[in-house]
Amino acid sequence: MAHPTLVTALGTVFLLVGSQFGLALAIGDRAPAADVKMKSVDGRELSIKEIAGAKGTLVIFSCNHCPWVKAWEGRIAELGNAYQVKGIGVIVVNPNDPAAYPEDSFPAMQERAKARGFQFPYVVDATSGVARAFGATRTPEAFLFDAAGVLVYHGAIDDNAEDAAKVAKHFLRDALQAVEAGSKPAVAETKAIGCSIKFRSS
Amino acid sequence: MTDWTPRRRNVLRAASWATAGLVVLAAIACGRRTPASSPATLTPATGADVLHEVERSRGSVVLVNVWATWCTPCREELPDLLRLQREHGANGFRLILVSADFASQRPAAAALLASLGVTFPTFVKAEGDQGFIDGLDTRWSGALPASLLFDREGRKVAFWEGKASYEELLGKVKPLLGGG
Repeated sequence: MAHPTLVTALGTVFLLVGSQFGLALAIGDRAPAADVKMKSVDGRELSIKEIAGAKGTLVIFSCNHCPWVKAWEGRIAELGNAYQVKGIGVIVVNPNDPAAYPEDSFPAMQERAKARGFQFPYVVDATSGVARAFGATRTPEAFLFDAAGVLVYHGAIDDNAEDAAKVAKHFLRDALQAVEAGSKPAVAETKAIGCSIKFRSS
Repeated sequence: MTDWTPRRRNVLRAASWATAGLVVLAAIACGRRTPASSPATLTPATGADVLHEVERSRGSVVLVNVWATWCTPCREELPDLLRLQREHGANGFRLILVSADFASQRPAAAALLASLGVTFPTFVKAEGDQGFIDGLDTRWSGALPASLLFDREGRKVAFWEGKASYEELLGKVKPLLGGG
């Protein structure tokens, strides 16, 4: 019989390999898969490189069905609309398999973008490959790159999904303000609970 | 398979209020005593509180599972977690369920647990996400479900995000239980 410590160690290694650990972009990294074309709700095929702004680029992995996304969506629309006219490229990427969540289908995305007044692209990550390359695990999850294309903020929209009126820390808004001003965000990494991304199996 | 249609949500809400009413009636009838067959309680807890509960369970193999009513894979995984508790509770396995639901969803969480026949105490997140996530495990990104596994000595031996099948769960837990 194998030594219990060895069994435990092997089990831990197996679990670590089987999850997303270590794959997420680190602060200082450049956007991967930046040339991948993704279909936007207006029919255009866009890549992260094409939407990049002169002052920075915001990529948010999101979707339609997730209740945490729904809770934050008004704030995402507000920030995206406000900063995409200030020189920050904004793109919201849906990596979910619509076979698992029909609410995440392309027509439903078109409706949602219209209803929420998105003035920035809301695109389909058709293989979930862009989310995999970023090491994204959940929706919503924000990645903000500076003018040089370097990741300077990764994480949550703010610290209270449930109640916008009770937000104490506006993580993403503060990071956007810093990047727009050409400085580094004071807080580079945050976490929040969200929906697991339903990756396509291929 | 969307998360919650408005109709399902209404049904669930109605069920939640009915359950909450029953809980109140049961509490009145039984004073402060909690009978073994009462519906699951959802005690507000921080990440540190949950780890303290793990510490108190030293001697058992403990699986902490963070779930939410809104999370489809979490709901799919719950019956398998409960089967593990049913089949291996007597061998020293303890399941600690922690709901990450919004405060407004707590009645729905209680109703869901009741519908699954949960009668043991459970917990509900009662602090900001960041502190709760890192308090439980700094490797956790925040995606649900999330699970932490502790051996009988209270050492954390595994952490994973995402749903596991019954066979996967058993494969992780059984070696720690020992004794065949």
